[in-house]
Amino acid sequence: MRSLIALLGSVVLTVSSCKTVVVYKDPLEKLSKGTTDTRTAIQTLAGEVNVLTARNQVWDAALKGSRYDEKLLNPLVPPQYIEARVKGLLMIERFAAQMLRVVESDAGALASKQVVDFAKDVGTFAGTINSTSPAKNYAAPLGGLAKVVIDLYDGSRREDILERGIHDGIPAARQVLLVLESDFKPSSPVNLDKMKNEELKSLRVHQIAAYDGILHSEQALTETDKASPARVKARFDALHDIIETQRLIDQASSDQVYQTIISLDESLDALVAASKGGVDEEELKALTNQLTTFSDNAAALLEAVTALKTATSADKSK
Amino acid sequence: MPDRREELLERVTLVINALQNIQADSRTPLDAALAVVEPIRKLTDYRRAMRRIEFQIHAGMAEYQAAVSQLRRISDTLAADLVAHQTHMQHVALAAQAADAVLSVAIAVGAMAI
Repeated sequence: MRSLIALLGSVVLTVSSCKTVVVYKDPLEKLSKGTTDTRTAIQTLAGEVNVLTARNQVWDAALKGSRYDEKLLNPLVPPQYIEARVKGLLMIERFAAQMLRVVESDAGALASKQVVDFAKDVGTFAGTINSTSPAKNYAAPLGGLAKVVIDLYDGSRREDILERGIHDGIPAARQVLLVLESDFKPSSPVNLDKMKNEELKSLRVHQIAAYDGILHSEQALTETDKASPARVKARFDALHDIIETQRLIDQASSDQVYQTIISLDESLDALVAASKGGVDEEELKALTNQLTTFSDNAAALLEAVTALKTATSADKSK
Repeated sequence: MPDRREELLERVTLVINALQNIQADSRTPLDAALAVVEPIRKLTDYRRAMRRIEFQIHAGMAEYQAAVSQLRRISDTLAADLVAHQTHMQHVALAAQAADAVLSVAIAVGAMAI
């Protein structure tokens, strides 16, 4: 009996690495949320740059007295570029979401529950045939052991899927992040934070020019005329615009998107680290306990079967 | 060549910044502040044109497109693997459920006989 238990245990251990797939959950959730946040941040920042560029282009046209032209709305950050970068992050997000579905799959848990319920009913059935038979107490431990085996198998198969995903997906995700890091690093010629700052400063140039224009046009006026409420209001509005734009320039936080992209890279590192984790001691302990329970109850059953066989042989020999 | 373009961008930006500082300085005579706007505008237009070229270069990276396609394929494979795994476990669950249903009938028959 002991050698059978040892054999069963070694078979189960060889099909399982005994590492719970839950270790992947946290890094995957961080990766998923991080890519969503970065994607939104890039879209927002690119939108802000293009709105500012359009305003400045309109100012330029107004200064020159140009006719209306649709080119006034020409974006500085091309929509195709935004789409390409956002798509890359979306694919990483989708990859993380699929991996999370694997982690959270409860098909194995449902299967093992069905097997346990079946084993309990087997015990009940054996009891209706012979209420004192050891077979009555043998079914439940058998069900418990089957549950552990199915859970370990389920975990092992899901871990295989996750490890294949990590092996194939991480290099591709890193390539996407490498390009994004290159685009958003402080010295990049397509750094959107820098462009936003430049467009804000261009806007300030126009606004200062507008205010200086008012002052220039008022040079020939008397002090009384200059102090008229309408003129004061016009000067106030023009100055107020400059101050508000300067406030935006001062508030602009640089390289925030770049920092979130670096964090994404760290999330990938955490995912790789999770895949290299060690054996789960709790799962091993659960297997050992179930094997022991199974073994203790099976021994009584086998003794009863041996006794029955002996008695039957003795009857035949009479 | 990329370094030359980036260097040129930096130089143009330095000049624009210097002119903007002149315009924003309250000590600059009003006429000079108004006159400096046009050169700032032209240089800013030139810088925007350079940036638009940089975007064209950066958007078309072949390795990036390949990585994005690879991620899509891997996600599809993960989804298929999960479905296969779940189907297998469903079969185990259904087999246990079916055996349990048969056993329930046997228990009920046994109870009736008693």
